Amino acid sequence: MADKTEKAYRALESQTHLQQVMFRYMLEGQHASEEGKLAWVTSGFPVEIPLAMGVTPSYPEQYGAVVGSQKVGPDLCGYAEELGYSQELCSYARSSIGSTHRPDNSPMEGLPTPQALLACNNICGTVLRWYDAISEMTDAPVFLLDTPPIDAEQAPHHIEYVQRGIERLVEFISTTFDTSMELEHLRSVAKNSTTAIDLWTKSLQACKNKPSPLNCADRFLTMAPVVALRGSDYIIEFYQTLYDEVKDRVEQGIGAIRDEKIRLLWDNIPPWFQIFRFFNGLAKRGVVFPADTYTHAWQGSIEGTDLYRNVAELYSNVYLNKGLDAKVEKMCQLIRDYDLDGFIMFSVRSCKRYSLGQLVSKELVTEETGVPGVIIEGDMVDSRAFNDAQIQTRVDALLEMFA
Amino acid sequence: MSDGQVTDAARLKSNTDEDANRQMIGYLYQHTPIELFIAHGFTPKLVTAIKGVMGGFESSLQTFSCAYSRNIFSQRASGKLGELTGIVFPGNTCDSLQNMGDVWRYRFPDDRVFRLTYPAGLVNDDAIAFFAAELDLLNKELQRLYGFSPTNAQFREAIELVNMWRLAIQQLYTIRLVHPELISYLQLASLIDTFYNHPCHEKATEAKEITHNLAIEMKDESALSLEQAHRALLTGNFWKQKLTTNASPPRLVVVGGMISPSTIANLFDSVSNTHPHELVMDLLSLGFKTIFTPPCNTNGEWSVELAKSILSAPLEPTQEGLPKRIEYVKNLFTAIDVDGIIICEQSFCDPDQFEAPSLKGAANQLGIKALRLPLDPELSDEQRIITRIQSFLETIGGV
Ligand code: SF4
Ligand code: SF4
Repeated sequence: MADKTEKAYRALESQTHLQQVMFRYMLEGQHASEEGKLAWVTSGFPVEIPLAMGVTPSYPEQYGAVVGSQKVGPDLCGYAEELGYSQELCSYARSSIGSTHRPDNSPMEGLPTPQALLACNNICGTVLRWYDAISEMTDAPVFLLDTPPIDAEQAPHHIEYVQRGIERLVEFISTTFDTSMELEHLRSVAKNSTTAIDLWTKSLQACKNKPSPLNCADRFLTMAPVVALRGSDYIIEFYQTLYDEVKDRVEQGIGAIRDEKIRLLWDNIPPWFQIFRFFNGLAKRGVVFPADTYTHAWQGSIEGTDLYRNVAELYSNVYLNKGLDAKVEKMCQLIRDYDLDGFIMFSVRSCKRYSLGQLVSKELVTEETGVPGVIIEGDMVDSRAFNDAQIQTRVDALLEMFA
Repeated sequence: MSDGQVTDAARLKSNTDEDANRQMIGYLYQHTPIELFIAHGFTPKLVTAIKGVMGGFESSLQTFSCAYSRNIFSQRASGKLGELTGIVFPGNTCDSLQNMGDVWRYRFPDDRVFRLTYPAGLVNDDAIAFFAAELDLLNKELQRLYGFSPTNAQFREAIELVNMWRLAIQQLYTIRLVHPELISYLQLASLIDTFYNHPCHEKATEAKEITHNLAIEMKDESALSLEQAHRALLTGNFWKQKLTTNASPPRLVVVGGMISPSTIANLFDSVSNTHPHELVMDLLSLGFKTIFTPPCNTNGEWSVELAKSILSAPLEPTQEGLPKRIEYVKNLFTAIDVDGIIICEQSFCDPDQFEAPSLKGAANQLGIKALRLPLDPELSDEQRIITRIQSFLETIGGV
């Protein structure tokens, strides 16, 4: 039985280790920028390529999450709006444009200055336009790895096209940073990536257990290294620590929340400015989120004889680059595999690629799995677009169905 | 191809008797290869936003889907889209259309939805090969569904038709730029819209004749500069030469996305009595940016040549290349006399809204006044829009 004096939510011990990893990431980014070896990259970029070529990546989307968590989203987005960028645009983009414009008023004085901007549109079309805007401000050149969305199966000409893009990427990095690619080095970076992703996947899958050892906020915080530092050796230790802790919780029957009653799926990015308040508030009511569509997006490994082809296939087939069928299928699979009672879809105004279609997928997922869901609307960084009371009412309505 | 060869019966009700005899394929993205559909015997019809259509999308799309996509979806939901044999959605152009295509398939499962995916990267051999392969696949899909394989001659004929029409309209744009008094923007816009509605020889010939007659009206020296100006607009090489020498009345250029030239023409026409001005040029996606698609070569492999032509259209904001586009716009604004620029932005349109600050910055650098004008394609807030245009014209000395 759970101890009633205990908090509804259990903090992870691995979090201390996470802070060290992210601090190192920050220092490395600053150092690389001073050395002229820093590239900003989008979250779905095949980061193994620049890493293998000695170029350090920095992730503006992860910076957006920091901006959101520190509750300064409206300020930074406001700086971008002063420059003329509409409030209707993605708030990751706006906060990054805002912090580039006013670094003195931004957390950590903004991201370190980039020497190149590497965008992959496998997550959305916004990233290209966003990086073009940053390029105008910083003079850093943009490289777009174009990975057109996949309707059903990836056709041969599609793989060919993306593979050629990878080859051109290598040429671009070689010229921009005066470096070269050693395939052996790429293999070892890819191996690090695979090892970290394997450990991460095992931690995610451990959440099939009841009670779930991790809640949504845990995963959203601990995924930072797998997003930002895939390919680095030092994140492997972190993911081993995390997995050990998760395993330990499972063995001892300890859940992420004190009293697990309802198991839900989360769809989309979280409201970073409310991440603890939102999920811990629900934890008090016995609601845990053993799975979500976002943190499950970092999977797969680079291997085989034709590495570039493998990179092309892997990075084209990411969750957001596929059609509605694939998204619905993924949600249904998570609901079944993790034995979930329902789902919450966060309709993020910033992110059309993730969110448009949710009204239909909600119906389809319920039809297929028989579990109820609810859609709440807001934003992940810009708290001005988040109506707390309205969201609570909707969530309450869902929870009443389980009463 | 005769109508009899089209095996798939049209499902929805048609708007006019004339439409009833044609198999129409609707398309949403301006750079759709209409030549391919013409070669297959279809009438490609650009689906544009229309006024007075509201609602019907709420249970399928959130309000942050762009205004254009919501309008089109509402048209379909309320049965106002007209009779279409199929509808073509673009892939990889913008997130709103990408996702709406998926939603459409679920909400209207009986509709025949085609998806044509574009490369978003800079135009190079890889992008051309990718798009040519997409065109080949679409061609095969049409063959499979409708049982007809166009011959090379049929492809060539379709390409020549579109080339002829585009050339005529390009020349009209150029004539207007140099001598806007010779043909109104309203008339030009109407020629564009009617062809988008029903591309055929009759419309193309009409445009060609108008162009021909206007060219005769012009003096010899004008004809020479006309040719230079046309080439400059098509290639983006302005060579720092002045293309126009006209100073009054205030000359405007309208820049923007998926708003039909006719909508814009009517809007500006409605203020012309009280606020005289000359709308000398549009840089709209449904206007200049598509019309100035370079001619498609009829000698090579049709899919490759079509891919080269479509992907080389200037100023396409759904593709990579903002610096190049801004450079083009700056060079253009230096080469022509322009007193004010109006940048139209559709609500929740990423391509429009991301590009607008850069366009305004370019205008500022050249000392040209610019107005950013948020609007929805159905002009639901028409009076406010008109008032803003009037105030802008007053600031640039139009009254
Ligand atoms: S639009 Fe969505 S996927 Fe793209 S950068 Fe913004 S939040 Fe990420
Ligand atoms: S380009 Fe803009 S207006 Fe056109 S469909 Fe996309 S988001 Fe909508």
